[in-house]
Amino acid sequence: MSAIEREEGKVRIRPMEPEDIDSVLAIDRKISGVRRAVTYTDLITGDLGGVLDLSFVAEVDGQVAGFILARRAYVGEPVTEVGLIQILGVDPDYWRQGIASKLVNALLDTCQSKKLNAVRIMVNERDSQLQGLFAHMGFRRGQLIDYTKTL
Amino acid sequence: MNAMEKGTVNIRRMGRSDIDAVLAIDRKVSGGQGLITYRDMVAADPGGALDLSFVSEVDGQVVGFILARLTYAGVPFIELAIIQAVVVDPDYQRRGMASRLVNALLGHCHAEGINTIRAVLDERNTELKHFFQRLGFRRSELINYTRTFES
Repeated sequence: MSAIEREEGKVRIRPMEPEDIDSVLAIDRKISGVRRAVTYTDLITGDLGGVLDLSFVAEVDGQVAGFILARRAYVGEPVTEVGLIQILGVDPDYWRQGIASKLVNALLDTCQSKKLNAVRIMVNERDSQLQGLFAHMGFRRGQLIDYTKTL
Repeated sequence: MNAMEKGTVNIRRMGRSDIDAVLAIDRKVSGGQGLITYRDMVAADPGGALDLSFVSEVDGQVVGFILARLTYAGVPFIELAIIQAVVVDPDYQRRGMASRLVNALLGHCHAEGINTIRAVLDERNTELKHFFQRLGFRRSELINYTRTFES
């Protein structure tokens, strides 16, 4: 039964639009279980201008079920232009259907066609599941690490 | 008497009018065409809503800068300041200028309620790792996965 339902629910990947922000935040809330302040939406919307050309949502039957937010970053010497994945989120109700892979593939295709040099994501070194997903999609571990200060 | 001793250091927010001075310092440090492009600086939008960059001046002349911006990452989202570059004119290095720039950013983030400040760096760069450790940054569990496009 659920397999049939799954077949009926076609996954469609399309570029993110500013109107998607509420759906994106709803998925974020669903994953985190925390309702965030309304002003938060405004802040993120302010960031979307430079972000939308590399961001996608996944729709199942017209419902946003996942998203990938990425932006251009310039790094290294010689300077290379990379697509930096900031956030990848899939509604828990739609996990295990390959939606994350489809979102990443859409980003890879777009970055390649826009002549970017690479696509990068920072992941937790203990998150072997996420690392496995990206390794499977042709990503390799690099030498960048992160230093953080919490106030 | 060196340049620093006779001048007063002033740290202030970066603005659009600082772009030329910032690029000149970058070229001087890298000894060539520089690592940061004009395009990068326009994208950074100094003085804009998400920009957190500062410059340091000695006698009204810009001698160093920190490029930083407000961003959102992870699921659930967190709001964080990401440090993209800390650069000081070689004539003014080894005098704590870089630390003062980072501290200006930390103070601003504290006042604005931005509680996480992050720097992504190469794990082979021992000097830079020590610099951030001295300022209270600690290595997080984030590592990077990158897919590079052939051609």
